Amino acid sequence: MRVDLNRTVATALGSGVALSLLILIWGSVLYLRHPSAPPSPPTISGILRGTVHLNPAATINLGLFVLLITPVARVIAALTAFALEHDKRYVLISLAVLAVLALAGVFKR
Amino acid sequence: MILTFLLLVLLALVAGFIGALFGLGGGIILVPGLTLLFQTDVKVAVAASLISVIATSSAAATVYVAARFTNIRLGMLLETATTTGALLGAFLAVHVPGRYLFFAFAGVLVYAAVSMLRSRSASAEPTTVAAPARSLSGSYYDPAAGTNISYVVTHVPAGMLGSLGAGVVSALLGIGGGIIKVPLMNAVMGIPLKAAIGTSNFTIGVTAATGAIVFWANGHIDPYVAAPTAIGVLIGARIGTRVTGRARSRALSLAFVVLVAVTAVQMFLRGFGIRIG
Repeated sequence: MRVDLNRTVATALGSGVALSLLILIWGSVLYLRHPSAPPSPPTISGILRGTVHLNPAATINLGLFVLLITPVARVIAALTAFALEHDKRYVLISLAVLAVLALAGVFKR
Repeated sequence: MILTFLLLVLLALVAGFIGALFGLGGGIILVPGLTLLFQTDVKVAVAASLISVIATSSAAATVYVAARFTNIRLGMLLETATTTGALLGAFLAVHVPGRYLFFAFAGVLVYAAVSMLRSRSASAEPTTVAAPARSLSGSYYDPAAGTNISYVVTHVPAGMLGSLGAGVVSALLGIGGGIIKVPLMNAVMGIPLKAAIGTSNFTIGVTAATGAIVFWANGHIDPYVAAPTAIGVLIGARIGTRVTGRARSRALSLAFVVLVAVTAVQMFLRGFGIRIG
């Protein structure tokens, strides 16, 4: 199967940034209306629940999370395109980048 | 609190605008702006700056990738080095006392000022040769020249090493690191400037994300600093890209170099706990 690597990657990046910007603006509006709202829960499920309950900090964190995983989604999009092109070397290289990203998540002091 | 939030958006707007105007990311202006003007904790400032770096580079990448200036395979290869560097840099940033970050940032600002002065007299495109069919070689259509430009990538090990260093600096200081990667790819690896810019920008998003994830895991992401800066930088960069070329002049560039140099001095002094202005 022939995939357009450039278009796949550009779409992944563009939609991620647009979505996160919308959520960030929504969270900011919520904050400006209720500046003394409680802080955001730390977990992903807590952030999602907080967003549903219009918690400004949780909503902003959701937007930041979407922004953070946008480049990760882009690596996965490229990985998929390489796999469909049977380019084994670049599938491995993409997996190595994903491995470093996974490692970053567990790096706590 | 509301006023601070709105002023942060304004600062980020200016940072994004100036960054786009001079071809630098917003981070080099944002981190000094946050720490010197808003007394933001330097690690919170670096983390927020990394977030805005992800936003601007990802937005810009859609343009470069669609125009096919980006060498995606080369970008992916270099990312194994830049993300590893970012992991080290973020780990370092989380552990060292904040004042060392001020010293390091002052050093990068001096480097930025010097390279801006030099680039004003430097020649633009290197000569290119026809590329044989190799996986890392690339080609793109240059609308300015009206032809296809092909190139061969050379000195990959040196490029990987430099990219590792750029990754460390990126996560340590909250900047994209294009100021290191573009000259590296252009002068050392033999990649034409447009492809170097497109490919460097491509690697920046995932590199900044690696650093930002470490800062997040260590509690340095403040939503009320990161949100206004990300929104402001994105909008500022969009406006800056529109006016680039029309507004850029010799006098303006020189004024910016002076601003960067003054900021370098202030960041250096802040490392010693001295505040001016």
